Amino acid sequence: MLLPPYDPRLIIDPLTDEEISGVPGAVDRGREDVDPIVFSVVYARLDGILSEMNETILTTARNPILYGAKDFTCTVMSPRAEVLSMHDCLPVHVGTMDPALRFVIRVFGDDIHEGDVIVNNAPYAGNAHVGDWTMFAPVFHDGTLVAWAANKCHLIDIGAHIPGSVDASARDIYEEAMHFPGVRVCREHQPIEDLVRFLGYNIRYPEHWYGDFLAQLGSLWTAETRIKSLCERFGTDVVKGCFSEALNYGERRMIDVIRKLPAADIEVAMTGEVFEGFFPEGVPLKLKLKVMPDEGRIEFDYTDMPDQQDFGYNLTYATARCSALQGTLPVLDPDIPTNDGALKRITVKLREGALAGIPRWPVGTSLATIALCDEVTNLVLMAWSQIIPENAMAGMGEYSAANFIGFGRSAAGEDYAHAFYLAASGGGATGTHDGLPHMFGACIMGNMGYESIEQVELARPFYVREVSAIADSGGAGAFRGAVGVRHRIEPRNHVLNINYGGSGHTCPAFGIGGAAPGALADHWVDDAHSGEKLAALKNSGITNIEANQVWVADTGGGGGHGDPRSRDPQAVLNDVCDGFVSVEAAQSIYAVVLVVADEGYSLDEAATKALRAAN
Amino acid sequence: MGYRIGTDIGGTFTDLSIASDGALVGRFKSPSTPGRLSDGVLACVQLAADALGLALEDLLADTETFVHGSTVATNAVLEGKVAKTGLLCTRGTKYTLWRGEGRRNDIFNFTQPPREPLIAPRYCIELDERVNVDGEIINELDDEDVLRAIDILKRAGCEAVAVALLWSIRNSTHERRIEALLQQHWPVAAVSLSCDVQPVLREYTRTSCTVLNVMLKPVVAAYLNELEAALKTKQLRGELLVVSSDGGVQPVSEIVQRPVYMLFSGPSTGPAAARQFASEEGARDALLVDMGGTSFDVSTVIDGEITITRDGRINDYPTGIAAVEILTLGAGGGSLARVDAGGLLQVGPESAGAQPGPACYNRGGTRPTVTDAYVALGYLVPERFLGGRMQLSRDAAVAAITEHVASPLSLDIEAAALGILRVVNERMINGILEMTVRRGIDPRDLMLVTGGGATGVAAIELARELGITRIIVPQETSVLCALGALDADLKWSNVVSLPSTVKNFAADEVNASLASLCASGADFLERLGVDAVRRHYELFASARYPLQVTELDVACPDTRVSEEDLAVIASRFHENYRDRYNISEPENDVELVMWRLVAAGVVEAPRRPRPSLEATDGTIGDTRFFDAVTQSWVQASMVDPDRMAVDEVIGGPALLVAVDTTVVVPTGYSARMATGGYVVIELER
Repeated sequence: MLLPPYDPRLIIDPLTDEEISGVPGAVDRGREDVDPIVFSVVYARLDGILSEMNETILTTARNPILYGAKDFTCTVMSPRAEVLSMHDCLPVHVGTMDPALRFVIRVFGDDIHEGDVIVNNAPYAGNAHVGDWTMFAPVFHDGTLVAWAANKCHLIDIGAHIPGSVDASARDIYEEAMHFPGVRVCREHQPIEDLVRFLGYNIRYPEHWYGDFLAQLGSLWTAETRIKSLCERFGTDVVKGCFSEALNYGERRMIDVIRKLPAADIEVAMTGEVFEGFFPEGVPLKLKLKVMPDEGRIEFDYTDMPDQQDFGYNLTYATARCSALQGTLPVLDPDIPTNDGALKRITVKLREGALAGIPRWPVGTSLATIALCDEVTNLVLMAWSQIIPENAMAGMGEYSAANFIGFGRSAAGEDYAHAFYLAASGGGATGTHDGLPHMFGACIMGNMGYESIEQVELARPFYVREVSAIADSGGAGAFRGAVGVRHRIEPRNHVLNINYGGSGHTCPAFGIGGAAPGALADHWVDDAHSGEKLAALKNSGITNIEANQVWVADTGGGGGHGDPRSRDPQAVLNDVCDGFVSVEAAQSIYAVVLVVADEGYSLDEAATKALRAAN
Repeated sequence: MGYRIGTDIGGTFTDLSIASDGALVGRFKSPSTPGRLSDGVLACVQLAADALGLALEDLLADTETFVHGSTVATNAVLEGKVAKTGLLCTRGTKYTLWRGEGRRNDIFNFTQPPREPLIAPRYCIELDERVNVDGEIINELDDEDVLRAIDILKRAGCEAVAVALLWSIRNSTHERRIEALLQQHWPVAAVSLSCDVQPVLREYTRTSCTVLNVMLKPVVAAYLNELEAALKTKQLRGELLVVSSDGGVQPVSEIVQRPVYMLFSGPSTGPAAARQFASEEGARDALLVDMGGTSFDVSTVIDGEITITRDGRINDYPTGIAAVEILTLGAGGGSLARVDAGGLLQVGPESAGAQPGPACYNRGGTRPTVTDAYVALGYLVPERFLGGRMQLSRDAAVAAITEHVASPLSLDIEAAALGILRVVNERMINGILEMTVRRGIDPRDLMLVTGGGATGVAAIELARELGITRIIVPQETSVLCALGALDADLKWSNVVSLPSTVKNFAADEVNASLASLCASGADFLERLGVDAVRRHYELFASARYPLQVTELDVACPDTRVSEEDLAVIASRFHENYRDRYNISEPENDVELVMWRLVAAGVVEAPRRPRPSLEATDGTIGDTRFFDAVTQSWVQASMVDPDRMAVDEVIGGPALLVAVDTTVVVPTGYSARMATGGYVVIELER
């Protein structure tokens, strides 16, 4: 019997042929000489299947966190647990699929059958964090294993001692709630009833949960049906050959791209978020990055990261590794096919017992997909800014306490929990483009969706009083970091409890080449009527927002790129008109002089020229 | 009885079809005239008049109805040539359009500009007012505040104002008050209220729809007034009707108030025509594919009903308006083929456009397109393109394919050209699967109908891949939408948002609202003088399981909802849901969120000309093409389909070549002229 602590090699080591040989067809990589045209065809179809899996969840789920915010990811993987495509995925979801599936394949051995669905939400079994409910369905055709369909949904509740599924104060897995280290939930395409009964008993808002569970199954079975019909059209052998070739193709492209990078071996450090009682001076983050163009390889070394702590911010193996991947892809050629073939050229050395490494059983990792994972990703972006400044991207505004979970009982007596996705953080600027807004941090990169105010007010007892861009929150630069967003939420005739944890409240998103960093995230409580500030809030804790109080939260802005005084004055004018930059900042930071005209602001070109020439 | 004319303006061509005393008498095509589109329309009418031996004025003087479909609204939005528009919105929501919905899917690409909001935040002015989810006013609107906002928009040079406040779908008092103030203080501004245009839940969708509507008002009014004046000057007797997004038609006076309903005006009449052909062939399900120069449109008819989307979108800006669902892909004859650094062959969405066009046009294009592959494989005969009015160069096509595809992939020319077609066909198939399999529809059960002149080349390969055994190529394939416009119904639709559930149904409230919706629809038909016997009402319920937010539209048995109807609606919902998502919960309650009423004045289809009963030899020569079935070059006869007799069957390999159409009939397939005057391509038995 496999009992914890598990050997980390169960999730880390690549699968050998021998390990997968118990399942018919698993070892077979399909035809080697696939026709290039057929390959292009199957490759194009793959993204269509992913879109369809996504659409199924978006339209049938029952919680706003899925249908509104799209806090989920769907993909298709090889029998060796390699992700075949990252089309329309959350980076930190898709980049953490493979360790969880390797564990499943290892522990189930030859006991994997058509119609099975296996859940894995356990970080020590390779998953990202406990709230991300990851389900895998093997896809067989004519009795042989072709691929795995996979999806990962962030559940709003997992039956912990408080509502929600992310808890900054959870010190270990026992405080996080139920972990399922690879557990079969369906046989022969039917939910296993006693297990589902158990889940429905233990998870809050069971009707919501059950609907989400069905949505996830519908998505997996949609993929299964589509892959089988691909096999009917082209032959299983050809389809498997195409999947193998997709991985080879990804690897070839990645090697080409790395060959063109300059050789480098650098170390970067950053003082991250302050955590009282753990890191009162801020987390000392440190990593090494080595680029080996000749070998077509990139190597990260995270072994100097600080030790793990008894809180929920520790990264898991899956997310620590993912931070390096998701911080690297944005600065490389955007045409690289993002699959595990390409990504295996990037390796990450991790240390056991580190905060961003391989956590030591049973320490808590509840926030492993956000917060410090965003900060470490920013450190990776910073490392690249020293190697290829022209392609580099400035820091991303982080996933702050604004994007957290609230719960309560409405005046009508209904219990609810709600994850807030009204306000997203801003993205970092590059050497050619302004930062993109609506990012929700580096782990999400804008793949989540915004909620509708009316839809929130219909589903939950709140007033959403404001959702707006925050002036001057994007790092000033020749290219400006994207602005953060503010939300103001007022509970309707009841008490809203917010259980929050995030980052970006002490360490801003860095700027590049003379540009300013983005603004910090922040949140506080105001009196709904007088507007008086009643309390300042920190990065983590639990607070009650009473009726007639307003929870105001600002997400962070992205870092800028290049000297703000060289920014196109017309762009500055536009920013001022739209409320992204204040008139004062236009003059003092961008050295752009504006005059108030009848139709709004206009540019004083002469004065701007003079001011810019002056120093 | 006089003439009935249907016209459709496309990017390159203006199409026309004409019926006289209820019988179709001709089809015509002439170049569109971008500067003043009415010139192209008149030129096309002139062609028809010439063919009928009439003066233009005489033809129009004898025309009862002139139906017009146009992409003018679509293009105005795509090109930004719309009225400068301001928005009045609730305090705290001026960034609604800027935020949009999020959900970027190209996640690692940061070398792109931020998405453009429909209008910039600077033109979105907040008002200090608020209505809550229950429709209670919790913060009263202040007239002074509105006047201040109006002043800002005036000074900013706006010409149009959208008013979209939170929860105006529950209580429209504030929007109405603002309308009154605008009429009083800014009478020249175009105005639209979100509670009028499309009262749907979700502020982003509703605001987007209202803004699109008002920004189109001046443009569409100017265009339609000009066209109407031009036609009236030339003695048009009858009414000018405009094709709307739902495939129906509305008079100019109605559509200028709700021009957002004209956004998908162009292609929306195609499916009705496809349905007509399919039903003549005994099928209730049809798949219409229409390939143009830069795009490929897919639409369906299922169980006799044209598929409708609940949220027609342009540039991903939502409208929340029900429209004929047409999936458009950037894959057409002009789509460019390239081999990327990793050896992957890609075709489109980049297009060679009309200039320089495909390499074979010899107008300076050097990169290979889908059309070049057609020429290289012999499907398009260079000397017979457009009836010989345009010469194509086979050498230029071959050279472009060789350099950009064959050489990099070490393939011969046939394999390279076939490769281009397989890749572009696969994109088309993806689109078709999205419209069929994804909704639980097996494409093999559908009758494939072609629209567009060159679709007959691609059709057979698409059908083969999808397992479809019969294809209809109408004689009017190249003017299919103009044909569909001829008998499009007069149509009006609107919604009411009134959530309740099957188990807890607010019968009185819902039926009261439906009665008033029906009355509005009846008013519309009354205004247009539609006889009672031709009036037709349809009601759809937007239904979902409790706690969900995406609805499926279910057809209701009647426009009043009785207890029995309710049971029917619920069971139809469970059934449709299972078809679409592989799961369903028949024991669960069903929420009914919104009701959509369609009031129609039914128009009869014209009789189409029957082919002759006696065989005449339609053979116009011999040619060679690469047969995808046998994977070899074959010798084939060229036949003019317009000269085929009823039930005449031509065995493949053959090429059917009309002035405006080409159809490939490969080995093992045959082409049969049906009594209805269309060609059926099918597997030889």
